[in-house]
Amino acid sequence: MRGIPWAILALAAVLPISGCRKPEPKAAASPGAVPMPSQILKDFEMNDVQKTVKTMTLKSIEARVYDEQKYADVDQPILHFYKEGRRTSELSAPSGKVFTETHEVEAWGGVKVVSADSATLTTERMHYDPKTREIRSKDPVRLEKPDSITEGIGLVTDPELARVKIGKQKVRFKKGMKS
Amino acid sequence: MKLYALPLLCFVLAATLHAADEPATITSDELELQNNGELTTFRGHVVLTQPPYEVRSDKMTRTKSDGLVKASGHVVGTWLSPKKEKVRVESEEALYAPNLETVELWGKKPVAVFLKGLKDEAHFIGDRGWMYTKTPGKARLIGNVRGHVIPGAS
Repeated sequence: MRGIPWAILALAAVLPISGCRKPEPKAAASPGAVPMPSQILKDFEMNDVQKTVKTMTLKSIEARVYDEQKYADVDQPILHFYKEGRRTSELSAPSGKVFTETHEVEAWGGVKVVSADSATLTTERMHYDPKTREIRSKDPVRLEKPDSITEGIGLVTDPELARVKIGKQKVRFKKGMKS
Repeated sequence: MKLYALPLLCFVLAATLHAADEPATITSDELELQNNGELTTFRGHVVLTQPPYEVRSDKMTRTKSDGLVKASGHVVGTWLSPKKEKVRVESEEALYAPNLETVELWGKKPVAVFLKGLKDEAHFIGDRGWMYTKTPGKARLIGNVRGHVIPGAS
């Protein structure tokens, strides 16, 4: 147990595996060849738990796990983020990758995060690190709130979209900037 | 002269943030929303635009609960009237309080007002500026007020 970060220890729960099959035997490895997945899991679900409290759930229609590389490609991932046991936001994307030891998540192809207060964040690609609880992106981002639309380049935010940093931004107020 | 100078200048800060037909925009190098947008901070080359008004500053913050907007660092407000009269205001700090309908301007350097009318020009400086933003408005330049009017300069 020693030497393993507590965060990682507490995590790891690869839950219901309603479909699971071994991939076809590997073809002779050639330089530059795409690695074959160790497992292909249907209706993949993974929970991230920190200090016995669930902080994230990842669901995917299919996950291709690469044991040696310690990651899994996930199709149409949906992440639910939790804070103090309550669901605070949802991230969805066409494609993603989850690192099986750290539970870091890459998502791309048109990522959308919707917070509990209806703020919607969209970007092409983003990265979530459960250790820091930060979502980061270097791409153009758009944050739509009931009273404003913000567009910029680069982002750092918590999953709740409560604390958001956006670079090179332009915010348009939908009805003036009334208080 | 100064009695109508400040209302114009402070519209640059206040009227932009007030009800208006065109939506306001703010651009900056960085935006930070804290506590679900309770505090919004704009940093670096901040430009608030709502034609015909524009305010530039190094930093701008807005508190959602009370609507206070504070601009700091090289605050420059400009306004172009329908008659093409130009007003430019410079200060180091500015604070718009929507509940009081006031704008205060101050800083280590004097608050400066430049007016360019169709025919005349005028320049004023003072330690501090204050205005009530509701039309017709009241305004003051306070402390060491100096200025001059240049008839026919434009």
